Amino acid sequence: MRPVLVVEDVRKYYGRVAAVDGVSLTIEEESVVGLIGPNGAGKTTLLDIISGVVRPDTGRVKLVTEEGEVDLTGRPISYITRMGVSRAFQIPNVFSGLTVLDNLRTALVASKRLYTRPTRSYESLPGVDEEAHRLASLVGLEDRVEVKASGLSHGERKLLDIAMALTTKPRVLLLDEPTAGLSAVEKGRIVELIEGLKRRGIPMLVVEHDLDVVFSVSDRVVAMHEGKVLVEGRPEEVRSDPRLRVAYFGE
Amino acid sequence: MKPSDYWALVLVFALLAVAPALAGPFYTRLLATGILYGTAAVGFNVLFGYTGLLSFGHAMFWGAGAYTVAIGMVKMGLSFPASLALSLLVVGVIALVTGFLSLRHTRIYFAMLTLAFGQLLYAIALKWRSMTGADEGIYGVPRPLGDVVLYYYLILGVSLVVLLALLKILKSPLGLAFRSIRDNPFRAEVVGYPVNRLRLLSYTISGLATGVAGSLYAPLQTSVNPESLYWTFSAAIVFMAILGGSRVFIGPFIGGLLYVFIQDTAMGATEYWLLATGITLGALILLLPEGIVGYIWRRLGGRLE
Repeated sequence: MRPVLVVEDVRKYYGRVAAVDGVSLTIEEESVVGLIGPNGAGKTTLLDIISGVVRPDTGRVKLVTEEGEVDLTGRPISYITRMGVSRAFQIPNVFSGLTVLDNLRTALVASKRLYTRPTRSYESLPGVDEEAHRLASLVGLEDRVEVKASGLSHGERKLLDIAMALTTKPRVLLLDEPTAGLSAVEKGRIVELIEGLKRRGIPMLVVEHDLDVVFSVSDRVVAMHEGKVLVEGRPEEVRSDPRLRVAYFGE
Repeated sequence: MKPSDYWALVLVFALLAVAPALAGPFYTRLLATGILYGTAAVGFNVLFGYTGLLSFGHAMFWGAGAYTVAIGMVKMGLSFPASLALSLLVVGVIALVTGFLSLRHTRIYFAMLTLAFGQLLYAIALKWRSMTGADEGIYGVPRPLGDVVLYYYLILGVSLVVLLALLKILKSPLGLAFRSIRDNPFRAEVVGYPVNRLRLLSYTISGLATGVAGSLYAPLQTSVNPESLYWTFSAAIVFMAILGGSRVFIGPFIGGLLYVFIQDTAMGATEYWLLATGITLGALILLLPEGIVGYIWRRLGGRLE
């Protein structure tokens, strides 16, 4: 399958500690890559590097599009987002003073670059409202559109965060711990959502602590430890690899 | 019926349109000052209430507008419309330059930088005697239409146009972008907004609106002096916005009107009027953190931005 996102040998040092120490990975079309590893393995730093929040000391991040390769290394966050690399956060990161509908509207306005039209009302932009409502129902928030994000539950905020990441029609979706802190019911909703997105062919990189979730949704699993890739392969291979046990539990 | 920004604006301006018939020339002139203060404060609030950046140097736009019109009309012999156009140009350039430099930071560092640029302009006005008249300022600025009441209506009309334009912008996708940046600048960047450029745009729009108000002030007073650039007036603009309420569009405008009357009453009553305004602000923030209009707005079932 054709690669969509290629990470080549990226490194990031904080002082003398290597948070990410020479990681390469490839996300292919229509595939889900699960990224696991104990706390401090460098998973979130890797997502930060891909999404442009953190600049790597060395290495490259490339997006492969129909028109060719685009180097994303060191580009501004907003550029990377508009190129189609979207991210949802471990701690849901939404506009808490805006309603669910306005959160989705603003994400759509940003990705479609509609903010350059200061004469139209943002409530009557063609296409935006239908799309916002469609995304709200996709994640199951259709009855909550008029609620301010500050009034949502933790799980609902996570769903909203993912819906906002979908507004760019992403080429690649980065999900950071999508089920962290959720109840079993909410967890079920998120897994269902991820599977739905997978069926639509959206490539994803999913960082997740719940190994049952990772092994069920991923096509390939990458296990990191101390900034490096420890094991990589199909879920069942990685699951039974003895090195994984060592990384998580020591001996 | 929930209160609407447009209807609130129409109502307030309708009342202001009949006010000169009831007030004498003294109060008409005071009201005209209040309208200009209010318009300046709404301009300030585009940046403060809607984009989340506290400028402590907005007197720089007010004063630059006032000085440019005075210099244009008195020293260069330009007409009022030409002076106003020149003043918009000057204020726009000042906004772009000081904004570009100040917006490298946010929060208190941003506020301090704007304060510094404001004081820089004040120092220039104080020292450049041949152009600004130094501490005496510039006298004899002709008042267009001559009569205070007629000029009052010119001020009212221009202010309405400025406020309608600002409201239109704030209700547009650009306004939504500003509010998103205010709420969560990092997330705004991640959804794809060029946050810094949009902040500069907000700063410039904000400065221009305050600058227009200042430009109309010089002919109302028929003079301009360095006080109009001094940091205490920047603080006064912040006060007006908080007094009226920064989360309602019309809030700072009402704040500006009230400020003029508080100032006039307190100044007449006591030489410690600054202390009196300070106590008012302190009490207000403790008792009505959303401002006077914000409180009424919420009570009427309106949504605070």
